[in-house]
Amino acid sequence: MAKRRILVVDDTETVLMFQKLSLGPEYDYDTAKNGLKALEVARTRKPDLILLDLEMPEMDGLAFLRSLREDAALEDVPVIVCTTKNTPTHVKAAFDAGCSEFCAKPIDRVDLGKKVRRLLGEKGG
Amino acid sequence: MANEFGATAAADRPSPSPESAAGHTTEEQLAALLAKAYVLADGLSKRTGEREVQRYEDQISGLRIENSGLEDRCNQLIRQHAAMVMLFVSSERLHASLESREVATSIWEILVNLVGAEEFCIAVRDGEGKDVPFELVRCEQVDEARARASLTKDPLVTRALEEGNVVIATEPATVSHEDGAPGAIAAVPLRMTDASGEAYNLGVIVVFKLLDHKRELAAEDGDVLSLLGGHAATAFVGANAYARLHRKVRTMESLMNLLKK
Repeated sequence: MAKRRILVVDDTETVLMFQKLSLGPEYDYDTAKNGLKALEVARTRKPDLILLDLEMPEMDGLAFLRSLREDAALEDVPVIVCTTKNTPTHVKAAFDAGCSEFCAKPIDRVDLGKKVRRLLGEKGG
Repeated sequence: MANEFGATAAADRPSPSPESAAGHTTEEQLAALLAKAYVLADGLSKRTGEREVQRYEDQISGLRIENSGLEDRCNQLIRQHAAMVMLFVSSERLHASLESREVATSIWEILVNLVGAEEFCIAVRDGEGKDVPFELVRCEQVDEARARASLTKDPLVTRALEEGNVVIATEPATVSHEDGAPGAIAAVPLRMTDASGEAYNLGVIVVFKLLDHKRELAAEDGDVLSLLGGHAATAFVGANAYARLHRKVRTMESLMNLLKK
């Protein structure tokens, strides 16, 4: 069976590396450092799930999320927002824009793993 | 001897009649025996069923406990793996560049995204020698005056620099500075060993506040801070040495070009 593809969107190399390594080799990964690049990658290689930071240059996470939900081919892709901005305002804005789950940084790996598996319909989610 | 239903074998037998005494059994006796057999079988079946159900329930309960233990162990391993990944990524990022500014950015990324620090500063000696004062290279959500004051006045920072180890406040920061702001919650000396084998502090990282949803620094955060203490210093030394070398090479190249002309 082909591996599921996860698109990790974050402007810091540290987070891209950390999320790929901590979720492990059971998935394939694409990465992008801003919303514009992420849209381009998502349209080229439709991901099964997206891990998304909110604060990024060029196009931030919320703008990316709104564009994603307006794209008929990508509107159903589950998105987990991973951010240090964990205020009720940020959480509400993320869900209003169409995110499926919310994780506060620093990421709790067990929590993230469960959310990823649940959204991908895998066991242990 | 009584069987499991409390009746004796003899008592279960039909009372003998003239025919049975002669070795025959009447239809009534057979019917009574059959009815009794059904009752016994029914009871036996119920009790056996109840015992089976109990046995399965016990097995399920045992499996649930075992499963919960395995899940705890699995989560523990996932967290250990995540902690190892944090250390690996931190080390990898610190040595990914030979630019001082990039090294400081990597430290910033690690502190914000992996440790969960919100207010902190990074200071490094501005030049060679152990007596050169620290210069701030990065202040994150903390004003320079407060950061600068902490380098010489905060007891936690002083202790970390004297001991050469990471010091994490065991209680919420209560030390007030002149501006009334609380003191540092963690100090990380950036340790280096010079050519003579003597260790010294090349710089220091001072953490003033964690992100609101991060309650305290966990053991794995302490490990990352310790790693920063060692690797960030070598990364800065490497970057500074490279910058000096690069300047010399450029000067030599300019000289060579002049000579050629």
